[in-house]
Amino acid sequence: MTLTIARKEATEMARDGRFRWAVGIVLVLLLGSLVAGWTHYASAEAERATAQASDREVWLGQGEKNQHSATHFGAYAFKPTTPLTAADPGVLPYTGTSVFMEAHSGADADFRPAEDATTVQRLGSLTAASTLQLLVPLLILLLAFSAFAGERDAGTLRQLLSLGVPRKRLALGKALGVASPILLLVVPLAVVGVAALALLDGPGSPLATLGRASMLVGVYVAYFVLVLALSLLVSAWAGSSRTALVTLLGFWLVTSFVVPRVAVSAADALHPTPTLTAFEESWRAEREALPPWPDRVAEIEERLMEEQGVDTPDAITASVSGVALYEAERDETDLRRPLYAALGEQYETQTQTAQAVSILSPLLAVQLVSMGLAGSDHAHHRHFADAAEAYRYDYVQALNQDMIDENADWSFTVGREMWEEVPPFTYQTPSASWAVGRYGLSLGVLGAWTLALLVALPIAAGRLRAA
Amino acid sequence: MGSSVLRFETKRLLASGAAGITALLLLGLIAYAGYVGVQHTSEQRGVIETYAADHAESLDAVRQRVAAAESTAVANGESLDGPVAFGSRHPYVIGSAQGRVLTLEPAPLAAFAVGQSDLQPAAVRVTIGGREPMGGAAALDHPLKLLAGHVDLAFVFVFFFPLLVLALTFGLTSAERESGLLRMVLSHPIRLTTLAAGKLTVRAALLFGCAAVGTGAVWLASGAEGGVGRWALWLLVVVLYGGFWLALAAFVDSRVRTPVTAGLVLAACWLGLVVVVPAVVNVVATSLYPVPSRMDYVTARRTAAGLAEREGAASLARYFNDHPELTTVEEEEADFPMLRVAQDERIAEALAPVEARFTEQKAGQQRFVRALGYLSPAVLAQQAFLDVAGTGHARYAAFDAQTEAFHEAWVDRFAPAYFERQPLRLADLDALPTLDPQIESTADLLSRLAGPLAALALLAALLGAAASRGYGRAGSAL
Repeated sequence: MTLTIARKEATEMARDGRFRWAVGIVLVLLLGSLVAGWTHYASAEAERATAQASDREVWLGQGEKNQHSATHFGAYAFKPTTPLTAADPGVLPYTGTSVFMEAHSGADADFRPAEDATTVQRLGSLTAASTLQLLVPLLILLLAFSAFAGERDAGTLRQLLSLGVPRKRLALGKALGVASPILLLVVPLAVVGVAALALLDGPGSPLATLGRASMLVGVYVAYFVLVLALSLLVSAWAGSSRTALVTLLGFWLVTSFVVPRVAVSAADALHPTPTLTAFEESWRAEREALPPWPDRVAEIEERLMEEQGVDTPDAITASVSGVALYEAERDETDLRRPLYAALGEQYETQTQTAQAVSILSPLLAVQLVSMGLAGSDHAHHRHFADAAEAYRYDYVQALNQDMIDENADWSFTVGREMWEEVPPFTYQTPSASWAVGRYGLSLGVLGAWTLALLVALPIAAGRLRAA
Repeated sequence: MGSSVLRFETKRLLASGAAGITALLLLGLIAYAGYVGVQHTSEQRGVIETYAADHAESLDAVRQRVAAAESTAVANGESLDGPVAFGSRHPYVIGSAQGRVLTLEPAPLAAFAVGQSDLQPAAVRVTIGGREPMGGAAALDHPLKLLAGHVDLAFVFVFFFPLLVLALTFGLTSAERESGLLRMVLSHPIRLTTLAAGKLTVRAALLFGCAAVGTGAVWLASGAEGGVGRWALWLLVVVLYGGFWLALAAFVDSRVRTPVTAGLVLAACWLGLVVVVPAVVNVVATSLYPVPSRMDYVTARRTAAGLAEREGAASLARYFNDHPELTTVEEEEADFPMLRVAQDERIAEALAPVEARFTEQKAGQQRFVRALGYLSPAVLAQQAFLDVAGTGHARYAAFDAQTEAFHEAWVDRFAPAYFERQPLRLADLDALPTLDPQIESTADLLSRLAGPLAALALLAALLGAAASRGYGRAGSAL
């Protein structure tokens, strides 16, 4: 009986021209956004790989120079992205794409793509993620809002119930009836997408990307189930299909456009990040605790003279400059890293606050988890920036150490052999479990909403009244 | 008859409670958005003042060092105008080390739209070596906040205002038609078109009145100096954009039988015009006019810098070849600032084609979006709002062009001084080139926005005329 009801619902929808148009439009937008996203990802990733290789060549071909001069010549790290960012670019347009790694300087990311975009970008961008997050749920609620309320309006619900159709089976049939066309739309795309990812090369192992993609599909399917259950619940509860429609559209509007904005604004208001000038002022204040360069050199000369038992700085048989540079880099980094770590923690706290607010909007929870799994959230960006900073410190200190080892002064120079000893920058995208672990709260919210609705729906169906 | 309809509809609307709820909602949204905008603008002003104060403090420090160095020179019996060695009186301390910080003050209506001000620089430091952007108040904001966007007045009017218009007008006459009341009303000597026009006028007066009062209050609260003309222009955009949605609601109402159908059709129009079309325009523009990768730019810059550094002597010789007016200096006589200037020019030459391609593609993308914007009144309104607030593409592009021209003037002022070893005098510090980015006049702005505003007016007029014909036919049928 359940299948009969489901078949009847699905057949009615398939015969409805408006439904066919709506599904067609969503499908075109979904495919179009996937193609555009993939094209963008593929060209950006090719450019990144070329740029990283070119930068290595530039580093190796920088010619003869002092080791410390080379640390200021510096090297670039270009941020790789996972293939899933083609579907959900998340905050990538608002985070830097490259990091210049040089001595005495934190590894900040520059060149945010959004800075070069047009203002229409701020109205929203068409991506597979935005289509799945905004349009597919809208399609579901438009298909389901009249499931019970429409029958009630037409008087057929009384007829159905008088035939002795069990209410819960009726609800299940309606749910399957609405779900089947949606599944027909989403499942083939998901299967093709996941299979394509499995065959692709990209940053990180294909298996890790596949794992992330599978979880991503799971999250979206769970969200669609949630929206379907909510739509049926409202339809069962509402006095008329008009009330059901207005309620569901209001929910969609508020959870899609209001709560996400208010959540991040609230997170920022509760845990504000400093302005750039305030942050730079903090760094200036910290740096003042360090000895000025002449004092540092004098202190090192004193120390080395004592260690080597000599009376004049000229008699020191070690690179005073090398030691001073090594210790200055160490001391500056020790002061700078906690500042950046505190800023990073503030971002993390803001993300956690937004996750907590997502209790008001399961869509926000989906958005956060989606960009986390796609590797396009701020946590992944920070992971990359931290890796660049670790590389920066290691190579700068390796060259400073070489000055010490070679007893070099400022006029001492080295060449390609030395540059080749510095390993190229490589980056490994974190694992899927690392990504998921950061969004436990959002997953909990999503689970709680789904569970609550799946419990409430049979209860509401059981109490279904004909009028 | 028209005035009776207006009086009657005003009473009905007020009695229904819909007027109160709508007004409260709109004024509440405007108040919140105004608070967000005023807060952001105040932080932006704070950051700009800090940049200006830091710059003034640094200049003062330079002034003191130059004064001390001049005193020493006088005490040593040296000429103050003679060739100077690299040190406190060398023009490098200003031309390259200190530079000039150029700030971009928020426009009078900046609190109305955050626009691009959370992404674009609030100031630029210009040195001989180039232009270094200095971030604004939102430079360290969480990228999630930048992605979600701000609930500012531009967002309220582009996104929510149409919804309030539609909520108040979607069943303009169809609700009465459905209930049978319309037949009774039309039994009086009144035309359906007049009745619908009266209903629309009352609703428009309520919505536009709230918009005027709310935005006026925000403008006063922002403490901005001037900007009346821009505020009037903002209201004009609100009226034309709101007029489009009112006309669309009337058009749909004149052609459907039930308010539910009207609601669904209008909701679909809102979704299409406010959400889908702008998103599609964005993706099409970025696909057809992709801006060259910044990674390519970085690579080109690195390659050029490496080449210029390795070929120091060649760079210098080439520089003198390009600048025969300067005193030629042999490589062994060249000091660090001279080599730096020559290398910077070599790098700039190498990067010129990359930057030209970049600028061309960006301009092409912007032109394309402007053209495609006519597909959606929301895009037209958003761009107009940002331009009126002075936080849109036009103002930042103008600032970019102004700082670029200033950079050239700065190089012309200081580079010759490096080669002629002219000392920096105290008087020079008071006569440094400066830039005061002027905001576009309201008249110029209006003429630039004429196209989009005319398009909104034309759309509203066409829909209004079609609605009038529809009501005429529907009235006869009843």
